Amino acid sequence: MTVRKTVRNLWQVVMAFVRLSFRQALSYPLRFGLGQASQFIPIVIFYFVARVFDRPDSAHGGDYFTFVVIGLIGTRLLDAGLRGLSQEFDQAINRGWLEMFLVEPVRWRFMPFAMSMWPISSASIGAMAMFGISVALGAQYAASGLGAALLVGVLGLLAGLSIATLAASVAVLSKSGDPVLYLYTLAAQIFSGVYFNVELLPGPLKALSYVIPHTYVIQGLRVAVMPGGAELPGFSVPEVVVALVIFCAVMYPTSLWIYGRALEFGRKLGVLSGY
Amino acid sequence: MKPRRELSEKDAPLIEVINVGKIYEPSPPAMKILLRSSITEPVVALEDVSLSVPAGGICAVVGPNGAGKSTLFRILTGLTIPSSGQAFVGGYDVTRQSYEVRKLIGFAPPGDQSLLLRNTCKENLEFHGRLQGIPGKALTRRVREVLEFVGIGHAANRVTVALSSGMKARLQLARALLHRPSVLILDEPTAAVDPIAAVEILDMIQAVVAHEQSALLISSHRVEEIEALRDKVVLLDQGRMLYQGPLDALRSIWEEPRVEMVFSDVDEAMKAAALIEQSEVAKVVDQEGAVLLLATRSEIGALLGTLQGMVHGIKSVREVVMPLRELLAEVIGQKRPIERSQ
Repeated sequence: MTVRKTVRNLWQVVMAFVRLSFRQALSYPLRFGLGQASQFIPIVIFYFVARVFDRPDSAHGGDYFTFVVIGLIGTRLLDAGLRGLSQEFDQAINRGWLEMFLVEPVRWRFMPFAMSMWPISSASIGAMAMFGISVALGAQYAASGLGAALLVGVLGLLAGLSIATLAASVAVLSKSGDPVLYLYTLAAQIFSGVYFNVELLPGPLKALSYVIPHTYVIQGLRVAVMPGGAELPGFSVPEVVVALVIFCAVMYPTSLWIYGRALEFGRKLGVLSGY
Repeated sequence: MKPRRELSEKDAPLIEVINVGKIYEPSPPAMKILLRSSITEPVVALEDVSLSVPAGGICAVVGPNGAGKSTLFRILTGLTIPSSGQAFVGGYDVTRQSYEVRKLIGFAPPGDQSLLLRNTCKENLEFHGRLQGIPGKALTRRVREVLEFVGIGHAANRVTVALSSGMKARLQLARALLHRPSVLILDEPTAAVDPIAAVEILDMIQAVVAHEQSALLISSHRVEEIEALRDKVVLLDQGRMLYQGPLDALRSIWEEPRVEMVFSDVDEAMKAAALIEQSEVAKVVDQEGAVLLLATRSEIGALLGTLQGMVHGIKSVREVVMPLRELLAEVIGQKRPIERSQ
């Protein structure tokens, strides 16, 4: 298969899954609408929290509200790849679609990527909306860092997708990707610095935060777009980019390989159909 | 990728299953943390099954629940791999060349679960068409064409969940036919359909097989459908193949022809039964009043000859064909393979 043909084929598969997920989401309009709206609630909560604890603090770049909003946007982007793919897989398994997806002439390794494109697209739009709302509520951003933030965001999505593909490997065998995600999101919530700077963590826990890509994405976004970002303790944007590139270069092919092995093992056991 | 078996001969089988066995092993202990498994010891789902279906051929796979039909279909569609033996579709090995095999197969699983119920018929087919690599305009045209063919063109924009069972079955068939597969694997395609609709669907399937010269592997619990297909039948029971061959040949091997004689009164029938029992020409299977049911492989003349002077008391004679349901139940109940040369 030529590269051009492969890309065309992948594009067609991606569009098939994006349209399917979009229609599926719009089949339950109220749930979809409220689900989208609910992601903005934390911004409002932290707007008031920041006003209560309104203290200039170098650990938070001098503006706690902007600090947390960037953490929330970073988490939203990473969770899109992470939770989104797992939810798409769980839906396909529980509704009995996965068997037909696997019988179609699609390269199986395309599927995690294609199935995650809808959650990633909708999360990216959601992240932009969060950004807009936070500006309206008084968050301060440095426009000069938007390009670097975009790069960090894209690398963050790919990092999330790598972990999600690992979760999908577990899902095809166990019929649920949740076990891996529970473990990961629990660690990410505590150690990635969404609500506070990881530099405040004690030594061993700080070391743990360095193996979670969330930490780099959130730090990179903050340093890039917060007006006082350069003063934040921790990694600089180039260091974040290098760390994320290494993580993605190692993890994405590895997780795709593990996913392929999981499917082969599932074929051997005969557990790919049913749930 | 080249097929492992070159299909050079015109009548080479499109589906070829050679001594295939499948044993479902219990999950490894580590996997039991992830998923509860009901299998505690190996389960033999298929044992030494062989069959072949040429282009334009139809093979009905018949057997009770748990016979191994779905496992055989899962092997051919690449969802699982055989524990022993080999299977080829269009010359491609289903274990090692699953992607190439899937390009050739149109599959309809049992039930309507695999349909995208919140999408319209058109959207269902468009989604699968994209996965099958059919380009935009050709896909729009093909979707319309195949929906018309299966008789639900008028419901193209109707949401699938609102369709009747018969229409869903037609949509499943349309999906299987979408990319003009050379091999059709249909797992109980008419299970949820009324008998009249089932006949229509079968007619469509037969027309496609004849027109496209595709190979069809179909399972069904409806004996009238199996009879209507009038082609090769594979009888499976507990993973073992009891018979493979034409249905007519199974009848001639298994079924002892039966003759029903109606006498003018019960006494005549009883006398005739006694005479027949003394002869070796036939045996009395059943007597109900003046009606005798006889099993015989002799000519009807020889049978009448044993009755000598009683012929005048016979009101009618007719051959009774054993219902297929009974025939299959007997063969499966006997649980031993039947050789065609038997």
